Amino acid sequence: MQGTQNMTQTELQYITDCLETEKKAIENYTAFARETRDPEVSEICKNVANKHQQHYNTLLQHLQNTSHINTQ
Amino acid sequence: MNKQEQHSATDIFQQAVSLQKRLTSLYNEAAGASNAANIRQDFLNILMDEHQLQEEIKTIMQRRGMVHAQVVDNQKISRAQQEYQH
Repeated sequence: MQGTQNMTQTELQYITDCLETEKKAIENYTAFARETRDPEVSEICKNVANKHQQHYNTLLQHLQNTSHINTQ
Repeated sequence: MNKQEQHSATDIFQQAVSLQKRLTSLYNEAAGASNAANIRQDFLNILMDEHQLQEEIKTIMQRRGMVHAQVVDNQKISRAQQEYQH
């Protein structure tokens, strides 16, 4: 992924909104997986939580790349 | 599976679908508002993922009889076709 040197305020706002929502999704799905006694529900909730973690990491990279460029 | 567990699974899936709808809506807005191609593409890729996750959840719900999509009768389709046919 290429770094973003000229991120707009709107893009930053959406990235942080999405990070916040993904974080809540990871917490919720992890709790669902832990609390249920239904193996199928537990399995899909774990998988979905992992997928949301990947989304979180993808979004975070945009902030890390930009931050790295700005400190060079 | 007892009734209490079934209710619990239904509750979890309903919350999951609600969460997925919120995420698809957010990523759709985010992609539309982004100028940078790499950021927009990531938002679009994640948007597709979120729809896919929602579909997986709904497939399990349908298999378990938790959702019942109402099938429309042919008369309603014909009326809509007549209204919009030029």
